[in-house]
Amino acid sequence: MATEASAGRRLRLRGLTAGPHLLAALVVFGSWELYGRVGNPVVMPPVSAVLTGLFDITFGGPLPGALLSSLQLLFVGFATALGLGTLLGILIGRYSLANRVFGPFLNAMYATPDIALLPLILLWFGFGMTGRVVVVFLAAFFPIMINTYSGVRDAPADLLEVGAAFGVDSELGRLRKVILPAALPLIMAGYRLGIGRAVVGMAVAEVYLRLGGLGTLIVQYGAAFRTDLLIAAILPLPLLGIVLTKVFERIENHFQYWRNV
Amino acid sequence: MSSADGRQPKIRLDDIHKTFRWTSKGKQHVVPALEGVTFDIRPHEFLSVIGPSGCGKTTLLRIIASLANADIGKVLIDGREVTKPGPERAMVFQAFGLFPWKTVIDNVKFPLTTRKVPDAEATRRAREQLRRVGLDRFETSHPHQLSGGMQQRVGLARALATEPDILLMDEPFGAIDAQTREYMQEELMKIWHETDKTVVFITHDLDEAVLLSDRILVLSRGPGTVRRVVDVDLPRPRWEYDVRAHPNFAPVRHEIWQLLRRDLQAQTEEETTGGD
Repeated sequence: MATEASAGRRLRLRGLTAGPHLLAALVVFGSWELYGRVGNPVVMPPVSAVLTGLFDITFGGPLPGALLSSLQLLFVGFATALGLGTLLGILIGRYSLANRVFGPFLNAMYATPDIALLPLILLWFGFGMTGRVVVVFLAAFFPIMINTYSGVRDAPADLLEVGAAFGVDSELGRLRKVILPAALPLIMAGYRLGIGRAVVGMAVAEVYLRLGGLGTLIVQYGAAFRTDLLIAAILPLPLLGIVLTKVFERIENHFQYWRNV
Repeated sequence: MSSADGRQPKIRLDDIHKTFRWTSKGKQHVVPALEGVTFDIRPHEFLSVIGPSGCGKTTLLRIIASLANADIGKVLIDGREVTKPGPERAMVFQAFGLFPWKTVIDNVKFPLTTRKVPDAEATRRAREQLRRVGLDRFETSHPHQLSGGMQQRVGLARALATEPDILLMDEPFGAIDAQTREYMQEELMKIWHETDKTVVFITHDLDEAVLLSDRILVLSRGPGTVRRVVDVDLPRPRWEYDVRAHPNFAPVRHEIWQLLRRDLQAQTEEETTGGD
């Protein structure tokens, strides 16, 4: 009975929340379309032109290839950040010596905007794949490392004692059986934050370091004043960010279930 | 398994000293916790350790479990000195100490898996202990889905999993509501009767100590030393009658209460006169 009532309320609520969304979309896209039709299409092409542009560059156009190239970059950069970020996070979270050695450098790097490092990265790694991977890596690395660090540092002392009482007698055992499982929810949250940042890093790397991918497409269309295609090429970026973050959120929730106390 | 010789103590505490030292904000802190505790615990006995807060009860138990080292003195089990935790001693923790990410059965299997017992065997033995504490239907639950009393029964099943000779229990029912606690005390009595363990049971609850124990070790206010050992002469099994109504109950309880009260008064006076 109670569930029926609450289900009814939820349905009504959903109608209420969807209404404003639809209205807002109608107003935004409607005025965009109108403005595009009367104004200068180079400054603001109408939505319809952007959508046809998106269709054109997707089917038989350069978008799929660019997207694939971007995803490749994203994957390599994020995987590197995941591996190194987790490893360094464990090291500085668990061993004060490692924290004293690496801590100051990591803090300094974290405080430096990635954009400011781009000329240096270009200088050191060139325009090739390596430079772009470094940019993606830098973007995703810090949330992963910092979350892993926090999780490992706050390892529950009482459970470590339980482990010791029941036969966990090596550092590797402590890490595997107590510290990492306890830190897993935070580590997974770090991965979720990291993947979102990696998408941003990917776009930045491709826009500034060129050579393939969505970023290059964006720059090309910008230079050619094809604003309709420019916007169409930008669209996959937020989409990618949202989808990947949601996927990681799912994985994260899977590791969070026991926290719902 | 255990020494058949009734004269050899199961656990011998030989002149245990422990002092905690640490520095915070440039200030040195030195707090003596135990000062020369010497005591023999008999095989199969139920021994409670009671004393005012801060008397080092838990420290003593952690030293018996080899979770902490004594500065001076040794712990002997069956005549052999121990320095590392072993499967012959198992601990039950006040805050249960269950791994929240593990299911009930995986928690109970934990002491077996860390000691490389094959999985099928570990599962079989874990099930046996879960049945003993009446939780076999909750194998696949997670700790947060269980009540406090149920969680501590998982803790007890886990401690029993390695079939230890000795159960070390650190105020195991302290975090459990009064009604469930009574039930748990009775359950523990029955398990102790069935399994013949030596139990060292830390508590600050007078009634609980008298109800459960063969002997009660009263520690003095910190730094802890053995203040007195009180025999509890009450017939067993004790779940078959109203123990509190037995003529021997009140005198024992009163004796311990007086010992504790004096320490408590001294402690309160010290605190109010500003001593630290």
